[in-house]
Amino acid sequence: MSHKTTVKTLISDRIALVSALGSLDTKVKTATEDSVKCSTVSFKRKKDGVFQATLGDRGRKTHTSKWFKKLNQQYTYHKLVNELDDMGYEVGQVTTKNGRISFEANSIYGGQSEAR
Amino acid sequence: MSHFTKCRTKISDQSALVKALSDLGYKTVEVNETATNLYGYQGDKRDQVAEVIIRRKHVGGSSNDIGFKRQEDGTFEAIISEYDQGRHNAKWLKSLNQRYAYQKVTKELEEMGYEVGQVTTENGKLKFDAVSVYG
Repeated sequence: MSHKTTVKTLISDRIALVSALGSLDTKVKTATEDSVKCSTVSFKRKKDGVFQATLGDRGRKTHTSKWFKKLNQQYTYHKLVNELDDMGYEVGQVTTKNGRISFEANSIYGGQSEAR
Repeated sequence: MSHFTKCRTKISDQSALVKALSDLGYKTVEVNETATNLYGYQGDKRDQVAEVIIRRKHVGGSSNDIGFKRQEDGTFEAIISEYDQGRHNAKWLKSLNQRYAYQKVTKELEEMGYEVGQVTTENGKLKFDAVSVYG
């Protein structure tokens, strides 16, 4: 009998989640605003807005806690790039290593910082 | 009577907007669930309404209220009088956008379990370094 395991995440943005799964070579089969399904893991949005992952026997072997850490890191990267793009920034060099994320972003409008 | 002009922004997160305004020196900002009327420098009630308002006494002498009105697409539109555009001009809006970007990214990183370390903002450039609390 197949046993299901659920994993809480901090992920709330579906577009960034799909991009993060792509970065980890996890193919997405179907995606709606509140649900993302892959062959070995599926994500469903809960009432608080964040996605919960569900894993079967096969998924538990592939999607370990280390994999979820990587997913979190890739999600953060894609979410920030999308946000910064919306705000008129171009993201330059990004480094993600050992739980650290470093990046530079330049405003396409340029501009001086002004404090009052 | 100073005429109000509307300027589109890319700002959509209310709490990050309030923090960005604080970074630019406006520590007292009114936040309303429902858009409320702005007032002119003589205390005259204007037709323009906004959810986020810097009342005129905090803007400066002879100033009018400055407002930020939520649009249908979720972004805020800045409402600034002609008189106040002397100081609150395109350059000021750029600075606001930059501080907003900083506050928004910091908020996102913290929500994702990151501790934001070194941050640099200069000449339209943002540099971030953050570490996941989960390792």
